[in-house]
Amino acid sequence: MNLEKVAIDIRPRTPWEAIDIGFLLARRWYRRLWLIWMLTAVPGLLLFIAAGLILPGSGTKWALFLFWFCKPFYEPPVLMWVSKALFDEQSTTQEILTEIKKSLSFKWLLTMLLLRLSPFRSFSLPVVQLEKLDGKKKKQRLALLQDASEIAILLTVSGFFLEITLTFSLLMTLFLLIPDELRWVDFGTFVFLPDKWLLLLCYLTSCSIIAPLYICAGFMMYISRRVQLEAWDIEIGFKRIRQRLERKKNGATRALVAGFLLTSFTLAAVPGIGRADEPDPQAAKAAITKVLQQKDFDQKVTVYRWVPKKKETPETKSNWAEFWKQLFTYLEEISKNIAPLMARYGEFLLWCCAGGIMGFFLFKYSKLRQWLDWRFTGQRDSAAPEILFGLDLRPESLPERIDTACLQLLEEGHKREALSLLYRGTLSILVNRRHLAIRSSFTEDECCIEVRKNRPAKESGFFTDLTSMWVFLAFGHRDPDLEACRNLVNRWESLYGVPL
Amino acid sequence: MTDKNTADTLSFVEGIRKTNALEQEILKSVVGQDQVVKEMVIGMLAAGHILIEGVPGLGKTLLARTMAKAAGSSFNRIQFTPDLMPSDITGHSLFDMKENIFKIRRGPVFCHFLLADEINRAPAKTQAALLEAMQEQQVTIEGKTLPLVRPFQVMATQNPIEQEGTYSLPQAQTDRFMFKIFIDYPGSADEEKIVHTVTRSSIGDGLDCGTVTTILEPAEVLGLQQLLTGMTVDAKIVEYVVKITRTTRSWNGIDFGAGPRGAINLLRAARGSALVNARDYVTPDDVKSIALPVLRHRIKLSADMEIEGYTADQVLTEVLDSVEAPRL
Repeated sequence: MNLEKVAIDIRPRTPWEAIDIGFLLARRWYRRLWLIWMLTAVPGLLLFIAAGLILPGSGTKWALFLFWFCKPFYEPPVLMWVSKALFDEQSTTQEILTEIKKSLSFKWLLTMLLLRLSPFRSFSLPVVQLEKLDGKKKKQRLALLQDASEIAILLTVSGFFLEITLTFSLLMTLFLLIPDELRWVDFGTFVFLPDKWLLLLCYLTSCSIIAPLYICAGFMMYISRRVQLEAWDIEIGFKRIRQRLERKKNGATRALVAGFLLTSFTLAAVPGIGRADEPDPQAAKAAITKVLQQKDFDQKVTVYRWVPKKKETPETKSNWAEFWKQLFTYLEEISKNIAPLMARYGEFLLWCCAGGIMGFFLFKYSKLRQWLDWRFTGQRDSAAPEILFGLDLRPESLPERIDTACLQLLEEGHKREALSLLYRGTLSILVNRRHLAIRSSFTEDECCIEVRKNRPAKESGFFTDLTSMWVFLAFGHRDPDLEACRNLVNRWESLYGVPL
Repeated sequence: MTDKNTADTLSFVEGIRKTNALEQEILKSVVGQDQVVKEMVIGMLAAGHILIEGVPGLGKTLLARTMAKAAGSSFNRIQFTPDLMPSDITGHSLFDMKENIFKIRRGPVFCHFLLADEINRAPAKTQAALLEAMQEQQVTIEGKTLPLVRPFQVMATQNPIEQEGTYSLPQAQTDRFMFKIFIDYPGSADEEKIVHTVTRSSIGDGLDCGTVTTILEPAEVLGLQQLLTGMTVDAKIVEYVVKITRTTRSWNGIDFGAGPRGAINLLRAARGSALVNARDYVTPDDVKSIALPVLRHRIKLSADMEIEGYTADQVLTEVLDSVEAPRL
């Protein structure tokens, strides 16, 4: 590291200024940094796509997740290059990659994975990658350096949202570029096209755009903190004094300054790009106190000089400012008054919502019950109707031996009454004993279908034949064959031949 | 057209046999539309006009042409357009310079089966001319009333997807159609069969009805229609029909229900259904199975039901589920 060749003006900066200068650096070498990042990220993505194909589920989804999760792995080459370029050390991409390859180890991989979980990754990365610290030392070093961790977190969060925004902006641009006549999908479907390959591509592009800015901003926050702690600006200042004096070729002064610089270098312990040695705080404090007690630091000189006096101007109040002030005061008062009222209404609304949700679930539950009833009609427990199609289906309304009663009616020549009784008796059994859900709107055929769905073939066959004969007699006004009627009664007896 | 306008007397057994043969013959040519063919045959038996709704290319013209040929009847097709005039349908008078008299040139309406393609593309005046012919079974040209040939059946089509530049049929006019039939896309296997059949040894996209055999004569069609009038219809069936139509009038969600014409057509259609199902008496199943095509264009859903996306069929199904079926 050669501080004299540093590409930026070294001076203490706030974290915001550091981020700003980091962006400037990224812009200066953007093409190079982008290419380095892509050189690492693209092979990684291809690897993840291949891995995604092996894993269960959508390969692209896996690739997207793994690519996002392994983002810290694509950043070290960019950081290495920019850290060298800052001090005017131009390296080739190959050199950078060779250097990265050397640092590859299981511990390094683990550290990088842990960095994924760190919200201030951009700031921690230089400590890990450039100072090559780990474990407790890394923790101590980070604790010393991190004075604006919340800004580093903010940088990470901003980067994340910028990536998302950029991804969807790219997708929207592509979507809008499709002519209306050829636009076959809406935007939602377009984003999640089969296999999400377009989403993956746009995400890679947006990450590549943001990554150099993010890495440089984090790196410059790190550098800025070190400038503050290690007084790089003072060191550079002294070096410049030396150079100026060297030019004057004043040997005595040179010796004096050289001696002073030697002392100051020892005290400041300026490191290379590697980690700086930390001075013992107690010893340093004692040394500082001793220096301050020397005569040179105890001189007090009073100097008088003219100072321009500020012209006193009467404070003019802006009408707009006054208006806004009054408005906000008014609104504050209103809010104070209506807050309890709003709270009461809010509570009321919450209760209404809760009631609505409860009602919705009850409604859904009743629908579900209906569906279950329909599916498992044989098992349902609901009360059977007493009257269906105008027919009394109560068992007590029917004779004890339906078959005998029907046969007797047939012998007497009352075919209609006999078949009516048989039909009514069968319906009563199906509804009361077999628990079939026969509705009053069912026609004859619909009843047959219901029986066919829920009862054995023998029983449904009998019911179909009975219905046909009944319809023939009732709606066709025809006299059925007596023998066929007797046959039906016998079949009834074999199916349900027990007293009701 | 035939001179034989009197109905042949057919027995029910003969009628059932002829009806089944007609249906099977049409199904040979019109693949994958079994329900539509059944409803069309019922419509023909019940002497009702039919409104068919379906997207282009589903075989509406083929169906009409095949049915006409199988029924041994004459067939005409009119493509309704915004500039179609009533005289383009009914006909007009021409002055014969040689004989120095006005002669009447009969329009395409003088046939047994008339296909009015995209009826809603013509203005109300032209629609009215056809609908008058449907109702009165006659047309008047230059003051001279000419009866239409019998049987006379109109099959009008509507395209549900293109509504620009159309004149929707008013409720009063759609009511004159006995059926509104939805013709839908055929199933995959049926579609494969259609493609194979149509493209096999044929040039262009013309409709091939050459293989259709004539099953009936126009007089036999009239005989079948006559046969329906002698069917056994129990009073409970009439009561059931009326109960259904009356329920449509009081049903929550229907602004205007079906009128008495709806009930009449429902019973006529139920008779046709009974014959197609090889019966000479009507059952509640005949009524219920044919209720949707008879009633779906006779009801007007309330605005909120339409906003909620309910269709006439859904509401009618609820109506039918609420009406108790008769058991005597």
